[in-house]
Amino acid sequence: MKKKIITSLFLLLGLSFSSMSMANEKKSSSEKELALSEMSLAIQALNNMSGHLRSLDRFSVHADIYVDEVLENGQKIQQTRSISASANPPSMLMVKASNINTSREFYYDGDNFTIYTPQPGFYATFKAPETIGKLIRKATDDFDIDIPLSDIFLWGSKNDNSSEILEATLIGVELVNGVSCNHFAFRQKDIDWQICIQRGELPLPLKLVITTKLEEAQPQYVALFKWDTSPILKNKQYYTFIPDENDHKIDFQTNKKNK
Amino acid sequence: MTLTLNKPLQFFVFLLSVFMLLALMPQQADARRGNKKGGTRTSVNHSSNKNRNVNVNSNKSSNTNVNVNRNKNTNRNVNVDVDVDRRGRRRGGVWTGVAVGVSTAIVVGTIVSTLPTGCTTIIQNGISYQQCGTVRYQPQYSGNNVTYIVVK
Repeated sequence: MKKKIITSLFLLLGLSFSSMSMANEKKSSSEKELALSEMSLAIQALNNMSGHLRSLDRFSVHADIYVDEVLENGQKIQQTRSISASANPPSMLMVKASNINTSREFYYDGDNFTIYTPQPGFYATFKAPETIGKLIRKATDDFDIDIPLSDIFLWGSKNDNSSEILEATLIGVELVNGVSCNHFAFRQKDIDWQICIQRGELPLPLKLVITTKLEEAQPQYVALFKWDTSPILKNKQYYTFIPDENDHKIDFQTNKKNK
Repeated sequence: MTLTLNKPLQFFVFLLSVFMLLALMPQQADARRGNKKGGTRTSVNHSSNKNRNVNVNSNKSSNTNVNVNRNKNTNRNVNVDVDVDRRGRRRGGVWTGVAVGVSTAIVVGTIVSTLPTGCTTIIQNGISYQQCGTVRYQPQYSGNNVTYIVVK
């Protein structure tokens, strides 16, 4: 009799344990499902934004940029820059980037690309491919030139890297420059990044944060965007670089051209 | 045992140390600004695969120390140390320094990111150069930045 009670007690214990663990499994699988649905929601929002960007036939955007530079002692110094870009996709782009010390201008009229440093008046030109996306790639690969705000032109293009996203979460609603936006956070192998996409009819990126994980100090790049999606249409001349008499044409460093 | 100095000498030593501190300070600030690692990604969709380390330290008053260390992923590694004593005179085609222990050489192909003071722009065969004393630099774009390569 006593034995029977003990065995049934053990059985009961075992049962309750197994049911508990089953509940745990259920919970974790539902969490996984939730994470997956959140990821697909975030990716969908990103794709929606990319599609909208690629549908614009002209726009101008101003960006305030805050970018960390890491000193050799590991200290992070945040530097401020300001960028204005005008574009008539797919083949016309003009970008002006400046900080307190210097400024750079980038001209692309569908035929040629020119990088220009107004102080002291140097410029260099190469024959450009037919789209902004291809231009960004050529500038990087052949001439080591980073065209600012390149993401704005690459999202939704062939060079979109959103397939490299490993995790994605919806953080919530935020206000950027007084405009409400949906804040998403993404994780990739080398970078973590966040974006705030304007709510409503015009899903435009209002804020972008990129954290470089490869560097020990994890420096960040922050961009705050202000958009004008119906600027006055500019002609090709606006996007063509015309040097003035004090400007000098110089070369790109030769090892790059031979690469 | 304590070192005893008379008052004027003490004052002189004090002044000298203040002067040296002030003289060295801007240089240190320059060096600090120069010694940056870079490498912050500025794009989600493309990484420029850059690993550039430019280290420039220049003292414009009398010596020019240029230390260019450029590491690129293409495994090109230029590391040039140049010390120029501008009080030095050209003797028999070789730069000789007045100060002892200052090695003096200007290597053609040296790349610097800033020029010494007092350069003039000259144009030859449509190419723009910067003539700084007897050294001629050719400006060029290294990525988004203008650098100067010694050509003569």
